[in-house]
Amino acid sequence: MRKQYFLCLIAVLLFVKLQAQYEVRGSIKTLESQDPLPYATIQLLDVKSSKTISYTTADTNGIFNLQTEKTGTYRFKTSYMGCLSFLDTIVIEKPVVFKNVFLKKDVEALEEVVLKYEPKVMKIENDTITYNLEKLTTGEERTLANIIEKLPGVKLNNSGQLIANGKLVKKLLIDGEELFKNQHRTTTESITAKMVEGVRYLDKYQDFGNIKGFDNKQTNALDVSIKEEYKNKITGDFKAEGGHESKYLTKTNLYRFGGQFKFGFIGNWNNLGKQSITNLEYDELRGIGFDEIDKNGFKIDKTEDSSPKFLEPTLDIEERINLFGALSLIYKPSSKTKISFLNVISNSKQKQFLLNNRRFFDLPAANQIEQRNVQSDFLLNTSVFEFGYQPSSTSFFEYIVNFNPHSSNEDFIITNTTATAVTSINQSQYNQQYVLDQKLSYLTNISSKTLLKATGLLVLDATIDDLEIISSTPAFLLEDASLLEQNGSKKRNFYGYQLKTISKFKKEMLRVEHGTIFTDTDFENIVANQPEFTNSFGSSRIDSYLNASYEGKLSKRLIYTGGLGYKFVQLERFGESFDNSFLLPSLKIDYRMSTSKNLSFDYSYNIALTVDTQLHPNSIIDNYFSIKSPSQVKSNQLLPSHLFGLYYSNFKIKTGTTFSTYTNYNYTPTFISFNNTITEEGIVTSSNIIGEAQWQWNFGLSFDKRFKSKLGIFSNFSWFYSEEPNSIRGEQNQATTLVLKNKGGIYSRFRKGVNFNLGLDLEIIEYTSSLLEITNKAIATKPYLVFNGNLLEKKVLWSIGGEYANYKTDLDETNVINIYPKVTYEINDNFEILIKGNNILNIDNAEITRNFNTINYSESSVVDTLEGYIVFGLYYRL
Amino acid sequence: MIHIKIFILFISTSIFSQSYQIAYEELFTFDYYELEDLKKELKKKEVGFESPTGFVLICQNGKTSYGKNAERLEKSIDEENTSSQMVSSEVMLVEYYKDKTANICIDYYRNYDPLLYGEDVIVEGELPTFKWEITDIAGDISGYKCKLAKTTRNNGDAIMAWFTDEIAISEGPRDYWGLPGLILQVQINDKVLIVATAIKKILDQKSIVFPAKGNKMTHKQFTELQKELFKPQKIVKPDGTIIIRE
Repeated sequence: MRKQYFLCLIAVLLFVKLQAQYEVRGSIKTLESQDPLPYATIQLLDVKSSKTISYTTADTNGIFNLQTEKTGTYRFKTSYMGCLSFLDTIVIEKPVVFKNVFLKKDVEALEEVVLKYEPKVMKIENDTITYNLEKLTTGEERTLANIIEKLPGVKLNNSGQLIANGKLVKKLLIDGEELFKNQHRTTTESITAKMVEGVRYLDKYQDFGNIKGFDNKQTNALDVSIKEEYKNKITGDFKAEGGHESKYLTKTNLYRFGGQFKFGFIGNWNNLGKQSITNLEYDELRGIGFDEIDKNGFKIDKTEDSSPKFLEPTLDIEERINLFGALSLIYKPSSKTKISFLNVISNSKQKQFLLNNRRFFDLPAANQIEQRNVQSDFLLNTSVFEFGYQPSSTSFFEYIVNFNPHSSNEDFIITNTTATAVTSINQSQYNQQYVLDQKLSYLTNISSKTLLKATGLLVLDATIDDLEIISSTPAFLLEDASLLEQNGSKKRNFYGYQLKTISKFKKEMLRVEHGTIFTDTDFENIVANQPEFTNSFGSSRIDSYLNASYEGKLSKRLIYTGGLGYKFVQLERFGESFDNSFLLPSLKIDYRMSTSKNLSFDYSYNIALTVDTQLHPNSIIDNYFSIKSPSQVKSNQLLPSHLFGLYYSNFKIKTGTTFSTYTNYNYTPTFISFNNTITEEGIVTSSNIIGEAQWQWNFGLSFDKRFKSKLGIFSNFSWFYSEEPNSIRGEQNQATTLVLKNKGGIYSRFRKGVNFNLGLDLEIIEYTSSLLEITNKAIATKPYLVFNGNLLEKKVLWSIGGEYANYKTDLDETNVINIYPKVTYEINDNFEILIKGNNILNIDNAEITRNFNTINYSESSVVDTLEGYIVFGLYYRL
Repeated sequence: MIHIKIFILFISTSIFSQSYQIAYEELFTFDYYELEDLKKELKKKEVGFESPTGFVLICQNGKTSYGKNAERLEKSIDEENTSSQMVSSEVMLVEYYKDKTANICIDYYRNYDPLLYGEDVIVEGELPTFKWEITDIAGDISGYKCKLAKTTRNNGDAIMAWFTDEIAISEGPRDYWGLPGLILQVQINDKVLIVATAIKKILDQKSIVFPAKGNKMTHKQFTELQKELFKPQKIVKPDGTIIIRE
């Protein structure tokens, strides 16, 4: 027992020593009578700046103990009312330094002083919001994601990104570092609630590399501080689950916080079916370090650069096995240097089963019933390496490398039945892409008001796209086409530079950018023995631009940003050479009605050029029933567009009530449209044509009102409408699409008892064709109700939820009742056991109904969705 | 213009019995003013120890009290009893008592919520611990070199305090304390400004007496009481006047 006591005592002493390493101890007395001076103040000041490094007050006996973290030479100041202050130099080299001080009485100190002055008023712009976790949380939270749900005005959106007070959070900081970059969902689900000391929202966070006096690295951040006991050691957890039917999950999160070296590792292997990374999360990873360049000069066409389609959120998956890993390493040997490395890998093996009812609007005789089995294997990997060096507060050097390979392998087994024939088809699709981005930049201030940034950029992008179709009848009615092999490849390399200056004046800011990008592309697509499908072309392009934007204030609340860009493009392709130049204006107006209310308007005009792959002179096979016919678009076609946006947000920190609304209007006078035709056999051919006057309008409204932090009501509503002219068999058609979504409900946040969450998730999609005079509609209605609570002083947490999902199209309707219970029992601080289920009424696969529309046909599908499961699990916390 | 008046008083021979008084003015923006407007408001006021609206901080041997002048107090209570129809909870008549030796802080409410409660309340707890961040920002307040310190209270209020170590009293208005010098100005969010207007040493060594008469409760109990009293209700006074509390 004694031994244990002494060991504990030593441990406590060591712990205390680690917390504050150096002490100054002593006493304060009067010089004349040696009387102790209670509550005298003692300070350690910086020798040069007199900044207070540390301070304390003496106790009733005049004894003090002043602590500091670093050795060095300081100014030592002691003060007491009625005595002359004592100022001395002190050298702290040992863990404890003793200093006794004797103060002389101040004979002149007695006076009545009337203070007349103008008060110093500090503008608090609510740029830091500290959340009172004690008030907001109930103790039932298990992860940081659970805590974030309770913070007013903060939420994770459907794409896994954090939104705070209506704004997208650019950085999620854990212990001061952005461990997994913008992978907010992954990060918040892996940090345990017990690790969390506090959470703050920083509206003006200045990241590493910020130049003094400028906001080049200023952004908003959600800052999560970690408790001291979890720092400077490996911490984390392990989870293992297994159950019916042959379901399993193993997951680990490991971290090291504190100190110069930090790391995080997340591993997850499961067949429960949850998607490990969404397409937006992947886009965010790929875009690290390159947002600025994409936004200002090098407008990359989204059709060329879209994320792999297997990342699109979808419910039509029968089975999914996921292997996911993320590793983050951050090393900061000094305040001037930072090195970081992030690697994310995701491998998904999927199975799908669909029964499609494909109706051709124009040719009912070609209607098809199709049974489709798909097996897929997807792999993606992203590695980001960043090196930053800031030799002084006025300059910064940065090098970023981003490497993104991914591959997908899909095998389709299809049985296609029409009125006249039954065809068996095997389709194998293999796609592999890698993108290597490198960026080197240097920032420095060239005067007290002007910052200069020089950037060099190199991007290498290569894709392989192979397709094999084996059909019981000649595919596309081509001779010798029972076996078709199409091999495609695409290379796109671009390199260039950008120079940017930011000049800050009293109330205004001027940004000027100039850059030039050189791009070379090669595209090839060959089908063996089918020369009409051979495409081989390339292009060389030079984009040069000069942009200027001016930000000014019309009043304290009204801020405007006006911009004008000049762009010159020179392009050589398909044996032609042409150049063009444009002026591109933009305008943004912000009306800051108060610190919590904001109204803004923006407008921008842009001109894009067609990309090479939209101009293929010969046909390309898309899949087993559709072909892209030769393009009818000219090589030098310009595509202008106008974008208007209006946004309003209002939030109240104390009550947590948020309200925001937005509307965007996009008008494209000239755009790439399609002319589609259908053959009697149900083969769709599509060729690119020029369309005129496409417009899209979307509107969204969301609010979350809380009543005394106990009850809340919320709604997220969005409405999207587009009108797009295209052609069907050469005839003009006007296609309209309407998408209406709303998720709303009420919820409770009682600290005791049972909490509930009741709501409705609704989605309506409607498609109309003027030429064919048809309207297709698909509706998904999902009311849900969840209860949760705790027992045995929160050692047992339980929840039970239910959702009734109704999917309806013009042809089919399915219903799914999903019940998802969960019970966890905390055995002690380290161990927890759990039992949970999802869709437990559908342990064998459930079915849902989906609708997919094009201008020629509609598909109403009944698809297998993920089967339900019940699993038992063990959780261990380090 | 900075304006200082100095009076020479008798020297006290005993440092142990030294006590100091600091006069403060509290200014509120509510929803009508901005902080800049409060500067103009302060200029119009009669300030110092004779201020009809001012507060006084008394510091003595590790104990402090902060509240209105006693005679001003009587007048304030009378004014509240005949106040207008809307009952506001924005400004409460509250005094603060701190004892560093005993680690006690008392919030004393005289005649709390006279319409519905009408009794004195003594809310006792430990001295609040403020995690002050002393910034590099320095300034001058009436000839005293000051530094700016910031902190955030548990309820999320952002606090900015200007203090001077030339007056070696580690105290401030209300329950603020703990800096290496006297706090001359406190700003709470964009809502409240508390400004020191005069300082003097008192010869009268009357000890600070902590309140003993009243309903004693902890902070948690007081919060429950507030919730009960301030929920929306309609109050009918004996004279038939109807008060709506929202």
